[in-house]
Amino acid sequence: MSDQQEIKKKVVCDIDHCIECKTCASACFYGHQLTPAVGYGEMPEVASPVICRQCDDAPCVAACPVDAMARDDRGVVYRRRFLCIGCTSCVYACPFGVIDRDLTLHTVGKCDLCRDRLAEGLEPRCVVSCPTNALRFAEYTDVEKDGLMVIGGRVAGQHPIKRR
Amino acid sequence: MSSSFMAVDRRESRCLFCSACCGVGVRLGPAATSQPDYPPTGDGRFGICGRGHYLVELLSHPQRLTGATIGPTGSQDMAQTNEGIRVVSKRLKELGLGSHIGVLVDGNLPCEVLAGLSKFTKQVLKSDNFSIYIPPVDQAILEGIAASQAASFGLTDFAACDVMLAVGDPFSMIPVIARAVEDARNSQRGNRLIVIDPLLGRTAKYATDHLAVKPGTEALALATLANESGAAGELASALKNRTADSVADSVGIPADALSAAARAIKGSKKLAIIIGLAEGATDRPRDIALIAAAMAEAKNGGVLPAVSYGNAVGAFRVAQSVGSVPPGKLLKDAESGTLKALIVFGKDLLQDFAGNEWARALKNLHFLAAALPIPGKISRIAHVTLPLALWFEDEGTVIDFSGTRSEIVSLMQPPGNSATAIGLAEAIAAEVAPGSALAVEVTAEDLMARKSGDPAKMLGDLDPVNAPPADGKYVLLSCPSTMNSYDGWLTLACTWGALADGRPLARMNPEDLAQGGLANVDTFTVACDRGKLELIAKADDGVPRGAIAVPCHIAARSGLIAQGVDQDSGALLTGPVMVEIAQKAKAE
Repeated sequence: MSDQQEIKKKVVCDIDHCIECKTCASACFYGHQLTPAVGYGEMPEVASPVICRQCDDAPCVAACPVDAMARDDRGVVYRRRFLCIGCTSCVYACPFGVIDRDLTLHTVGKCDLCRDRLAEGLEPRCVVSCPTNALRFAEYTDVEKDGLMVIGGRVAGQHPIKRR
Repeated sequence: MSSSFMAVDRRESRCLFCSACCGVGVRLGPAATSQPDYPPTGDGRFGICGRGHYLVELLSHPQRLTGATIGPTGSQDMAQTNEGIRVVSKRLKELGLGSHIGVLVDGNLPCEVLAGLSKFTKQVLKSDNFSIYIPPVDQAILEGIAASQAASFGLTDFAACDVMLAVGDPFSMIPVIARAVEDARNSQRGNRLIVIDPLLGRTAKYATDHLAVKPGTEALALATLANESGAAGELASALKNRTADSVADSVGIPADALSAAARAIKGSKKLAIIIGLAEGATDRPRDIALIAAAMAEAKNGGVLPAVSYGNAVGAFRVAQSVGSVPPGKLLKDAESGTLKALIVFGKDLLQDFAGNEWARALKNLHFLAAALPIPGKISRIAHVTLPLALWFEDEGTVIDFSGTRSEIVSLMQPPGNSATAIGLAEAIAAEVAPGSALAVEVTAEDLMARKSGDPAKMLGDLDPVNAPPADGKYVLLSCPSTMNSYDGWLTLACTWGALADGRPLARMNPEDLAQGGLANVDTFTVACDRGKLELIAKADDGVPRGAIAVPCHIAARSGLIAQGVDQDSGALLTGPVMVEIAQKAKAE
């Protein structure tokens, strides 16, 4: 486990309000110089944003052979773009499949919670751009205090079973 | 990228990729390093949808026109904008001024620009052939609403509504609507969201009552709800025969379900109706708007027209105020040879659903000039192409779906030698009729909502146009996309628009796929008398049997959804079309 503390706030998706519009992916794409880190999972009946969970014991950091994956002072796991050699070890190490290989740049996109915005006290782009406010940047405890049920560690909803 | 070396010049304007006109911000940086920023919306929230982000890419898009092109088809030469202006002016003078010259302007420009170009056409070119282009479905919806005194609703108005009725898929047309509707529905136990949509779209997924009607029967179902709920208002006599029992078979919904929805509407304290129809989704958008407006008026509610053009409402009101001819009239005049010259501002007519008709008509012209921000198909046949600024490089008044006016400001100077539409028109006017001034102040009276038309006379017969699909035929349904604008002309030029929603995906019922010998990702071609379209199959339970659902920007660009020109009004028409599967190819 890393010595540095994990970041407490996570990007949490309220699935009752997500309308699958892909705005979060668009915001990430244009906010990170066309290297998106917010993916979009499409299963037969459910589609939802796929965003890094910022694991405490991040397997992507352990798997990276060139230390391109690192945790910063705030606890954000991020990718040091110039060190990344595009070996995709982190892609295979990620247990949640949220790191996608970028075939254009031969390096991988990785959510860094918009560190440039965090430094200015602002929320990540995917969160502030969400037209339905389905994405929140909050601690799990805060989400639960709002009456939402946290499902699977990242997704929240008002109902235990997806309504749609 | 760290903010330390990002420029901090921050500007705000409005997004015109849909009629919500959300605030958008940009942190301007050198070259292609500008980034989107997020100003709060009027109700204190943030939020722009995926389309709003394209603004950043369009600011420094590599294909932006920065100079004029002059020359016949296939041999266009780059030139200074001034030289292009001189050629346009010379040709206009040679042809002589008068009504054989037409001007067609894209309606998604600020109201002052539209009014100024009207003045340019009438006072400088001495022509009455001035047309403001509003997408046909938007135009039809706004005409239907303008025939009544129904209130226009905005996002904050839903809070007081206990029943919301959506026709089509407004959540996909305008994603920012979703939260307001959802919050209103969840605010009190028993609140309802009734959705009339043949497809299980994004809005229908959140419905308490989803009336999955047969394609083409949305207007009939709405008329039945209006009649059964006693909310038909001034259309009561015209709709009195539309009962749940009589239309159940036609619309494909059990009479009980229709009656239950009608009872909910009847018992509502305040009714909100949202119309979110993609181009080509239905044959009867105007009838739907007429009935919706009558219902809203009768129930002391309101209508939210989730139309695709940001300034559609403003353009509609300017067109009413200055007197704009329908685009179909210019098309017919060009076909007949009455129209000899056409200047188009901001619209690539050949990339649109009616491209085939325009291509034939434009060949008859003696002179064609097109002012465009990005070169398109029309620039290949135009005698002169002029570089045009996009709306966020212009300024003026826009009106959103609720009728609220706001000002857009220029985020930055147009690139290279490109100029605003008024700038280009002034330059032409200076050569053709020196001393003309085109600056126009649009007054509140000019932009006022005007009642026009008699709903009872405007209402059509409501019966489905297309026969139920049979014998291997399918109905091609156009559905809205959250990622691309209706014709995809600008949005597909953006990297994310093409990446995220650029493929021609055709959603079909799994049983139809199996019956047609198709599987997911197989490619196939659909054809009708208007042409062909190659598609990629995708199974979807939310699509009814006999239908092929295609994103509106794919359907519009294919040209298949065009229904010609209305002989009476001159309006362009679109709607679902019957197609056959012509070719199939298995995915590798």
